[in-house]
Amino acid sequence: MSVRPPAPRLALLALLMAATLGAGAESPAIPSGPLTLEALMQRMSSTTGVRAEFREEKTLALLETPLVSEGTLYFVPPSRLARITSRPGASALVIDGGRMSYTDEAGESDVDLSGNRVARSIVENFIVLFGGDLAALRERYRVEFSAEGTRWHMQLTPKTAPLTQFIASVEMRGVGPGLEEMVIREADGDRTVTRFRQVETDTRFTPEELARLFPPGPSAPLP
Amino acid sequence: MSPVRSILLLVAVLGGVTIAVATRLSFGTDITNLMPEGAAGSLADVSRRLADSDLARSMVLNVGAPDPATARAGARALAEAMAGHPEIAWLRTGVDDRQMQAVFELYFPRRYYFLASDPERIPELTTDAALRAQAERAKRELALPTASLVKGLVASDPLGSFRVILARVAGQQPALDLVDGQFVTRDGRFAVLFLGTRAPAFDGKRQKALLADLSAEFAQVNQRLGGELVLERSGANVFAVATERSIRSDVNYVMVISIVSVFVCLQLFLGSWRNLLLTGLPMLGGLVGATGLGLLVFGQLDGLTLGFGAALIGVVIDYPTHLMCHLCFSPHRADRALVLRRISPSLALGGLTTIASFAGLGLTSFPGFRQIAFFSSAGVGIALAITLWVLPPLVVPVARVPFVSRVVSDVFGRAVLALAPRRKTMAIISLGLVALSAPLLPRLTWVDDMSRLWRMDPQVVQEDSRVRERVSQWETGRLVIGVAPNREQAVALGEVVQARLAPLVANGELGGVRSLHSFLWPEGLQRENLAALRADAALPARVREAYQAAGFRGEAFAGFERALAQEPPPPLRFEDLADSPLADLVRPLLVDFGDQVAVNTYLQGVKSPEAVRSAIEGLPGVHFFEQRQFLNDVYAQFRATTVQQIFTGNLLVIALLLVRYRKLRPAVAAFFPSVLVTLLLLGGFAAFGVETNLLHVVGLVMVLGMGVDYGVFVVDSISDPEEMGTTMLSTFLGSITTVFSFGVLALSQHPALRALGVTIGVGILLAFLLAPLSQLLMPGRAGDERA
Repeated sequence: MSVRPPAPRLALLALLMAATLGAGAESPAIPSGPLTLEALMQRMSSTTGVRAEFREEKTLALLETPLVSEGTLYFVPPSRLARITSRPGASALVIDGGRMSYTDEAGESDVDLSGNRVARSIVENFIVLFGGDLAALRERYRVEFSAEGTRWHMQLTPKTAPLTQFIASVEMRGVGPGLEEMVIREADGDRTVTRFRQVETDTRFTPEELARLFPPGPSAPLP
Repeated sequence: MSPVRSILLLVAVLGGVTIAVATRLSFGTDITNLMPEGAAGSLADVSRRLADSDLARSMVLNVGAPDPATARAGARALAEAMAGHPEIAWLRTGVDDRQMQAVFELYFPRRYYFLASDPERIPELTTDAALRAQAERAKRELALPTASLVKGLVASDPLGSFRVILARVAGQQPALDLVDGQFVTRDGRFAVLFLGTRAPAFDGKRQKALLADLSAEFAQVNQRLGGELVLERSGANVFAVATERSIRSDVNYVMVISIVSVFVCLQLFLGSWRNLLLTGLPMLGGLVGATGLGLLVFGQLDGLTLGFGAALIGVVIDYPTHLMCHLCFSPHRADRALVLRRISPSLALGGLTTIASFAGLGLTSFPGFRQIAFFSSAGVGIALAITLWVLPPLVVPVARVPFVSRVVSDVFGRAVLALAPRRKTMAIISLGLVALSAPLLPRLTWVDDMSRLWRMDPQVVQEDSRVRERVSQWETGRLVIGVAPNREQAVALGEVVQARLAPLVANGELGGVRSLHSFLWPEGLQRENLAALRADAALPARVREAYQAAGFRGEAFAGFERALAQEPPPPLRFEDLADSPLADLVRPLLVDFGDQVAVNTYLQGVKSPEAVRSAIEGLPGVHFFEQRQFLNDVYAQFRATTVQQIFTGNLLVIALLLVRYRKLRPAVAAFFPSVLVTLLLLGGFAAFGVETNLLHVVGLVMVLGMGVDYGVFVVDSISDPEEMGTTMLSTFLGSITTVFSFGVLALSQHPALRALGVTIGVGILLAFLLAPLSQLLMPGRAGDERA
């Protein structure tokens, strides 16, 4: 555990996690007719597990060229998520309940993320999104939703601090219950675009997989 | 004085003192009173302060449940319930946002003051290769979802100084996770709370009430959350309350046995309810009077010292029983004045010798024992005065000598008188006892480990171990202490200690250290860091190049160049930390000791105390302090000193006997049985392999006090053989009631109480049995056998 100054932008993580769920998956539970936000949230809350590959591109003012990360995301309801990257380096970020931990190939481990006020709100946001708690989502964001057939578009604008301090907007696009793309625009102009493919929704993880992905103790698993 | 006047006077005096005592009575429970005094900064002083420090007042609570969420909910609910408790000074369930903010505000503007504890290494840390490695690392971090956390720091702190500071501060936090802002153990099974109590850990009354409230609140929380929660606690107060409860339970049944036995015994032997009640009067008066005088002199009496002192005052039961036996059963009882004239000097001498032997305790450097000495001496003096001047007119004669008294008086009286002319027999017995006991004395085993004096409840010990293991607490009783004349020098000394201990941590001989180094460096060292950075004029350009090579935009680092050139805030001082939300973390590390300052380095996982000692060898004012070992050493020293003072006190007793008898033989004769009792008692302990400790010595002080009384009573009766039976009856009654009062402590489960009970019980019986040997040294009557 370490102590950190309040860092205002960690909520991106929550949105990233939320957005990766169910990308490209079929939508058996969504009723026919025009897709609604309520139906989408209900479907997101019913998954048994998600495995998806992602490619993330960060455009930061600090860097001459965008940073690209690739890897796999695993989600186990109700509240476990592992984000394992293979490029540019191996790293693992794990959320297990309210606890968050991170390990990279340099052996660095950091278990304080949940101690950060902002990080806590990320976890809460994630739970709200996955749990299909539309009321809580609307409490935090102004939600704009539109759909054409099964294709949909959602824009979230934070309503309250600390999210307003670091996120300008989150834009998501998808088909059915799956998310295809998420774009996060930060208040300072930096931008992150994440695309998802080979998404497996309703995955059932074996006990061995779960033990490997969510080991007890402070360290997250490396690939 | 008429009986009515006596009673009125006594009632008036006792009533007045009782009112005064009741209105002013204030008991302290300062365990440090039982520690030696020492000059400021000495180990004795440190030990006293540690026993009453914030650390000793802290508690760790673990709330467990079948699932982590319920455990956290339980801990949150318990924290809410206890937060406003008047006995809780602070309560922490997770990292305080204010502390995080304080770390940023205090350290970020001063980040270049804390780059390297050895400023000569700064060029090595800022080589082109090192800067490139920093840049690559920063880039890796930006690829993470947590990039938003660090990207603001990359440009303003490209050297990673603030990150290093954070790592050092983080190392001082408990090895716990945070879930939903709540501390949890690494396995997530227990939620963790830390709290500090307002009362010292050894304030039994207040701590007992607090722990009871904690249990009650937890029971309610548990009921609300399904009844499957578990609460485990660690803290010095938990041990103190558990030990007190266990002792109290022992003492309670011992008291019942004592009171019933003493009452039955006195009633059987005295045959008068009124006289029975009168035997308690001197003790009652002694206790009330000594308490009043104690308050007058000390302002406050300590509960622990009062307990010991009251026990010692118990010896005064001898005086009224001696008085009663002679006034009621003496062959000369028809002439009260004669009886009083004969026994008063014996009683006075017995009382004065007891006071002399107790007063020896006051010569120690333990404040608590000085109180005990004063309290018990004053109590004995008052009880003696009541026996001599108040009781006589109140004692009623009995129509018929009770059967048991007649038997004891006849049997022992005749036996003693029969022994009187058999000086050879007495000499053989005495020499035999000396020959039997003396060779065994070198085999005596003294145990000064204080932890072995009290039986700790194994469940409490195991619970404490489990909690400490989960939380990886620092050892509060094992630390390196450096003492310096002022804060700045103490901070510098702490830095040297840290440097000496670091290799031990690196090679695994130490699990870790908690030191001021993690929070504060000497002002000079801080300035040297900044100067070393500024000395490299090319550094800003090299930083820019290294980061550009890693793909960063060069212009982003203009802020670093400006920050390095700007006038920085003044170096961080201890006062800055003490005035911030970090105060709780740093206060135990730098402590004002009067006109000196101590810098404390707490240790974890000490594998080799010798390695620690040798690491700090040669550092002036620096000690490896092991509180347990220190206290054991102190008590060993105290025990040895007390043994010496027994001899000193006994020289005083002999002087009193010489003044009284004006001849050597009766003086030595009165004292002689006590010497035999001491030898026999200690020889017996050695023979039976009893490990002796401080409490055996305290018991011995009491046995000697009463043993000399018995010797005096026998010596004074030799001139009047008709009185010998009555004297032996009174000493028998005195010894048997003492055995019932104190000897039953031998049944206790606590080694300390057992030691006291065995010593007093066996010792007093021996004192009674050997008292007739006083006759050996007295001038013989015509026709006596010559030794």
